[in-house]
Amino acid sequence: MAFKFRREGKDLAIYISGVLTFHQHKEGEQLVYQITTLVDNGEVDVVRMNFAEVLRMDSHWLGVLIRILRRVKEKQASFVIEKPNKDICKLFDIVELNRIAEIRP
Amino acid sequence: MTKMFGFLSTAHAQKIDDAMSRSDILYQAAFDRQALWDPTTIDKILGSFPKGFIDESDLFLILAECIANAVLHGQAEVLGFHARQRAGVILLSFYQIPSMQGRVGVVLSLARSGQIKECTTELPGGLGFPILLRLVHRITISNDYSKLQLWVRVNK
Repeated sequence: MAFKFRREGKDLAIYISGVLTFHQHKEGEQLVYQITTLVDNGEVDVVRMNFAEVLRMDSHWLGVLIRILRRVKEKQASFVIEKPNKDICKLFDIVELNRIAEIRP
Repeated sequence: MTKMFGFLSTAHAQKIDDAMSRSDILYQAAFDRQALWDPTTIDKILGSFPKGFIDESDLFLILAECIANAVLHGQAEVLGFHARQRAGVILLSFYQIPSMQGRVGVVLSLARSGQIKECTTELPGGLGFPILLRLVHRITISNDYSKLQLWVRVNK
């Protein structure tokens, strides 16, 4: 898996790729740290996570997303998940993630 | 024929064989701890698992959640996995050495018997087990906490 950041003003776009499982737990911690640091410093108003290149994901990474989402909302910023594939949409549906996060096809 | 991932001692291989040998097996594999921590292992299983029996995205989630449970919470050194077909059901079994710790086994037993709200705060893996409960028809755990079995309804 890999991720890269792109800043556009106070928008932060994160492009993630690959298969996301518990095996990449260190990368997950790193991602949470990097995003929450920017949000805590007030440098970001909108966090957009682009899932177009994510093939599959497990519950560990749902936990990662929820941790980021909570911190973003605490700081009154916005959180958007973009372009998840149908397998990942199915996982989001199971846990009803759409009730707490904006998901854009 | 058991597909081997990593190196198993003769004693472990024999234990896996004794615990999991059946006549109606679709797929059987065994993993050492290093293989369980290898992120490519799940893809290798998906690549070699017989097609058309179970939705591949469901199988991915089941494997990811059960392997995570075995290595992160169950402290498994060795894991056996097999799939069997019965009328309208695919049975996916995970046999681990050593057995799950008592607390993990008890919490999983409570959760799978429907008392999930009572043990949510202690549920190993957070969202993993609730996801499994949504994907499969039934989950059973052996009395000695060594085997987790998931029953998946299929059309075939």
